[in-house]
Amino acid sequence: MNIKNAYAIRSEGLTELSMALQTADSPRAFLDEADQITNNSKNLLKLQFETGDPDPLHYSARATGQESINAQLVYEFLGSISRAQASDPRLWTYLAFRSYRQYMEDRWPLMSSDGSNLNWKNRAKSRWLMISGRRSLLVRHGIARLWWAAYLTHDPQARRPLSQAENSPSAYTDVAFFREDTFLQIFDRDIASNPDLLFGVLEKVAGYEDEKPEDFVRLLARGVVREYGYREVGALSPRALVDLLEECADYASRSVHSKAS
Amino acid sequence: MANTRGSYPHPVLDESDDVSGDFEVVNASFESSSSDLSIAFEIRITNDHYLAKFREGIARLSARWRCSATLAHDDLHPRVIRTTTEGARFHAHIPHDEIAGDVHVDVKLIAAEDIEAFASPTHNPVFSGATFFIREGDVLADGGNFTVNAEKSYDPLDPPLHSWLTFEAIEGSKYISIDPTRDEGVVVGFPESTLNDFAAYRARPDLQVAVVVLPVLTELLWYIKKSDDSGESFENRVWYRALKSLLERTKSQHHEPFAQAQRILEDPIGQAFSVSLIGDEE
Repeated sequence: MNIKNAYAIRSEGLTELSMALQTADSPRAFLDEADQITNNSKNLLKLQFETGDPDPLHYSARATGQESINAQLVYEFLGSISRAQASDPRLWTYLAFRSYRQYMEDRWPLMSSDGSNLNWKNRAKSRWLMISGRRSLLVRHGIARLWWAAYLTHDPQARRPLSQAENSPSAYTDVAFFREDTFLQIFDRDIASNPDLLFGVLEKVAGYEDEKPEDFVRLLARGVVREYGYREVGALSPRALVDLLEECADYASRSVHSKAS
Repeated sequence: MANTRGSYPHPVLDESDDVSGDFEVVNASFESSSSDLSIAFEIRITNDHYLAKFREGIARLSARWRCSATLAHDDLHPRVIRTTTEGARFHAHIPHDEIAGDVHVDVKLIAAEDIEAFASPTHNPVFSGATFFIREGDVLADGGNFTVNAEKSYDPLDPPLHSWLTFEAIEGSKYISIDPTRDEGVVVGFPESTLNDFAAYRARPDLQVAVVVLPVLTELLWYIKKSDDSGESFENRVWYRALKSLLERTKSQHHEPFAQAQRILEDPIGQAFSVSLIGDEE
């Protein structure tokens, strides 16, 4: 099918995919049945916008920066859809099984190349198939995470400091995908829902050049989240938010050093 | 009203006994239209000291909504619609484009700015007259949260025509106007009295469609035709993409805009006349 209109899986198709996953006894059996389900036109919902053919996504474990490029490609492919549309599991499931199938098999394979055991059903549930739309699933799904990261970190006018320094509207997207654990520490938390806070945290991450960056990110994110316990972080003035980030980054940095010593 | 207590470094007016009195959120209600979720609620502060801080602007209302499904967390920007003896009643809107599923609204009183030595005669005696450094944004009173389900009257991935048309009163206008320049939808502007009359005909949607939607849609289709001819692109506008898709579905691409609009709306003039005739016979 040469697709010009965008498509999603109908709810009935999602249910069939979910049942197929439950009953399949191998990844190959599941994907074969999934192909039948997603190729059946009665399971497809034609969307009210056109996208053309998507640019292929590429993945290599050794290529840094590739996920950021992939995120931008997915974002450009879908154009400006609303948050409500972008929370829809029917859209993301379709894109994972159809439009970006090769990428999914490279990045989140259900079959291991060396024949070793892979918890493939859990991976299919978290990365391929989406049954409901909520943050923890959206930031883990193989394709949804790319779009959401690009959407939340895109600086189209390159007005923010990192974008200006790098002369790139996707400078913050690059930082978001620098490390997988960085991504989840930030995006699976309320930090991702506050644009000024998110950009501020990413600036701190980008500016940290010392040892154990993974610990720094974890401590920084934890420090910010702790503030949410007794302070309405979302209601802070820009000046107060800058001060908050300075305090949290300073604390995270000192904690990393004190652990190291 | 759900209220999970945080770990506060200073007394907070909530369900605990840190501070005497109550800070409550009451009479919360909501209404869903095709374009947005309308929320109303009232706050009641039965602590005169904190009520005075609220009236003086030292403490301000923070009403923030969060939606996990859309990774959104924002200020509700509530508007005071009525001041009461113990607080105020507020009203706010959240566009449906921003939400899906459950929406939680957290209502608090927070410090509008730093307070060097905050103390209150209404604090629990265990604090023995202690003072506290309160920073901007610190929670002073917690009214908990309430949850609203953003159930839509349509499928966001398959929205009907009316979902991207909004009708607004334009102060000082004499005639109906069309603003197609916004990315998210088309605003049809009305003189206020005309908008009220239009709304009064909600029992006759066939007339609303024939009298207003048909000419608006025709105008938009002329807009598309002119833009396609001139090479101008409106691909980033929801209404443009939706109309292009409707033209394809109704196989109307090669008709003139007035005929296209009638095909999309399935003969709105004929429908309106047929309803009128049946009514006269009765």
